[in-house]
Amino acid sequence: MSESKIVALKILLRIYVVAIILYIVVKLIAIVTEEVLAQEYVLEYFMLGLLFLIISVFISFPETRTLIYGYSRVGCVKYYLSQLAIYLIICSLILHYLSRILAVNLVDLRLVFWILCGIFGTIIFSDIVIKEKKVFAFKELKLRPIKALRLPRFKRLRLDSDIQLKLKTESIVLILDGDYKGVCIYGDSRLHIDSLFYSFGALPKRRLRGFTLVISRKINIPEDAEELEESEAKSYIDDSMEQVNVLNKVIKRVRELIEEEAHRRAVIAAEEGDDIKVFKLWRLCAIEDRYYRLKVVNLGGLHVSEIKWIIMLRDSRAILLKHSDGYMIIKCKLGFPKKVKENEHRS
Amino acid sequence: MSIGVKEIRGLFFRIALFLFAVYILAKITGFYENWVEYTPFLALLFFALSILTYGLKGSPVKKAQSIAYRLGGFLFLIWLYMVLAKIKYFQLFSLTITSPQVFWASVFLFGLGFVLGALER
Repeated sequence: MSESKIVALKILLRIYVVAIILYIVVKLIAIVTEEVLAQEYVLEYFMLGLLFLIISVFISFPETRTLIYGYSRVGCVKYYLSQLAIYLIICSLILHYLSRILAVNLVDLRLVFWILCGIFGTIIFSDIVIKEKKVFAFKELKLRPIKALRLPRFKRLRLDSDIQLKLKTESIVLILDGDYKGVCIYGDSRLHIDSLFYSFGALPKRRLRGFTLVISRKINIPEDAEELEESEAKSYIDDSMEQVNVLNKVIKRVRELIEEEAHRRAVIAAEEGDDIKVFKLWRLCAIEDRYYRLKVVNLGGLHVSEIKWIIMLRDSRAILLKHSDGYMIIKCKLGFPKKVKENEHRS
Repeated sequence: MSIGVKEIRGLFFRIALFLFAVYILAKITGFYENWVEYTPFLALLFFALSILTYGLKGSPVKKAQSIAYRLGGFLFLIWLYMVLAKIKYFQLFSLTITSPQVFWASVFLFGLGFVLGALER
């Protein structure tokens, strides 16, 4: 999906460059020889229409859309209204051009103007009327392993509509079930997400080594998998339970952090102090917890009502999750459990 | 419900953005009425207000002092521009504003900021 959009954007940009060159050439020829190869306004209308088309494709990228509008219902409405406004502008440009050529007003563009004003007013001022809620509705995950499987290399696991894992080595896969579904993969795998979020440095590499925990609404596991014996699976089951606990601790800490910041209204402000550095770059909100060496970067709004999926590396060194309002990256430099154990030791 | 400086600044910026969008839309659709010609100026005014209210901190008196200084500086720059460009006056809706008026307004605002500073202490 995204790749076709990238191709479309590249094509449009190239056409735009050609149009600019053509415009300059026509102008120069008109100055030097006084010969008019094409009417200037034709190229002007064309370039303006193309510019709006480029904007339309650019804001339709999942990343841009998340950053500008988020994934909330209001964000969705604003996104579709923006697209509608862009196409209305392109239509009005065409009509304006035709009325200039034919010297007849085909449609009353005053109405189009008022409609566009209404749309832009809604897009720009809706945030003030409908406030973005700053709640963090993450709950403790209740998951337990139900099956342990051995899968050969090169098997593909489709875990959500936009996550796919390809096993690079023979792996042990634990199936988790509870309020979500999940898998713990013991082995190397290659991750593919239908998104360009790698550019934000969410996960260190696409090749995930050793251990990966994925939690999602649905999972598709190949049917021809070999089931592990109970004695062999025990150590993996214990480890997976520990990792789910680590994830729960991190989620609890992240919720605490955001609640603290929301109380201080610092999530939307630039503030430094009490070992917490908070800053906001557009919709990019980052919270740093130096005590636990934890860094949370929220892409999109904080109106989180549910988690779509979570990908976690061992000891929560990197977590990427998609929630109802965008994406979130959580990084822990030391590994969360080490710090927790240290604290328990001291107390 | 209390409105902070941040919200007011956001509102100014949004109004500026909307007014500028209206002007562009009017140009694209060929819509013309007298008031459309004022929209870029008003957009610029609201944009200037959003910049002037950037990073205001402290008590209400401190904020008022800061705004007075900034507005004074802004008007002083306008006066300087008018002098250098030899513009004797400009028309704001039906009002004619001369360059000495702009100068004295800036001096007044600087003075106001100075007095407010004394109240703060």
